[in-house]
Amino acid sequence: MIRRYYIIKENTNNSFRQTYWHINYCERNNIEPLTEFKETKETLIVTLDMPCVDKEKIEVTSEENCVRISAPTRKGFCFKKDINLHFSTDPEKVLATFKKGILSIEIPKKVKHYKIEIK
Amino acid sequence: MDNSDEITIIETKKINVDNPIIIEGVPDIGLVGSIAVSHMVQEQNFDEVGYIKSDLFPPVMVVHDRKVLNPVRIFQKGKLIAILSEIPIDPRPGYMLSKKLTEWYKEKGVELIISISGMSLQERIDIDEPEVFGTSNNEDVLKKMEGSGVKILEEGFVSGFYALILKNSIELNLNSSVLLAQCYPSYPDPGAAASILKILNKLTGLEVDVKQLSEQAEDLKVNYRVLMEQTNASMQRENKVEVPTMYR
Repeated sequence: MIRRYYIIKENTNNSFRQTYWHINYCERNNIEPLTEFKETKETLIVTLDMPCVDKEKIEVTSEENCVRISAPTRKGFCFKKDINLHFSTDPEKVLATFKKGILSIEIPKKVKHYKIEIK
Repeated sequence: MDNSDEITIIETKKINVDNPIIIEGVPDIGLVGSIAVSHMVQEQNFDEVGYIKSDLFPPVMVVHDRKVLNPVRIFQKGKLIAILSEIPIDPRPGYMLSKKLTEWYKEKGVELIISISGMSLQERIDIDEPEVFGTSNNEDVLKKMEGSGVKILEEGFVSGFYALILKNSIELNLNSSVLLAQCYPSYPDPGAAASILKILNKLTGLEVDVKQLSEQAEDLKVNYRVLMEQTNASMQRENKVEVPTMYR
């Protein structure tokens, strides 16, 4: 399976690679990574334990109310996690780092400040 | 009937040793005890000499090298006796198991109990070599631990299964200690287990090679993932006790 993934990656454009990967790789054999959450007033920091994963194969996609993570492992299964947010975020401001097998995602909260006019 | 009678310690081989040292590895924070003791008994070829059974344990048997085994087993090598659990111990069986074990230790005339655990640290990711902290009910043991590189807990608390072992040890006049390595709060931590084993080598004269723990750290984390998940759930059931604010 991993070999086929590489062949298709080399010979097709990015969008096809992603389609193939999601259908054939991460829709089966999925495991949720161990996850920790730390929330402050401004951000939600999520860390996910993802051993046996290569950084370049991790996919993190963000929407306003959901952050999706998927990553194939060298063990033949895939880590997959959807984080449904109870607040809105700016998807382009979500930050992710991968260190020592742990993926850390910083999700800023979209805070709308209104100045209230006193009548 | 005494509640601790619901736990039975079975010696499959005669354990005949004077004043043994007990090393306990029960799943808790970072699975430090389970990973360390499991690695120690394999690497040092400990002999499996018994197991512990109870209807209060979850219905689980483990398979290693095609052999079906009880999840809570007893190992021996010379003067050292290791207790290894591959299932989380919930609070109720925990009370009974700690009582049963300490009574058994008393019968065996143990010299020292060393319980292995973790100390959760949010910044663990930034640390290459986790530090090991320790506490004991015996001043001489504290000095020996300090001489082996253990940072002695001046203030703090020990909770869960090992707190019960300490409590029962005080009541039964047994020397008991707890080693705690800095570890990830909710992830298996082979690096913390390696730190503990380095200290244990100094304390017991063992020569456990910990190279494998760092080389195979990622594989171990995958293998221990399910036990960690179950242990996190078990610890949440246990953590109904409010920790005094001075320790937070």
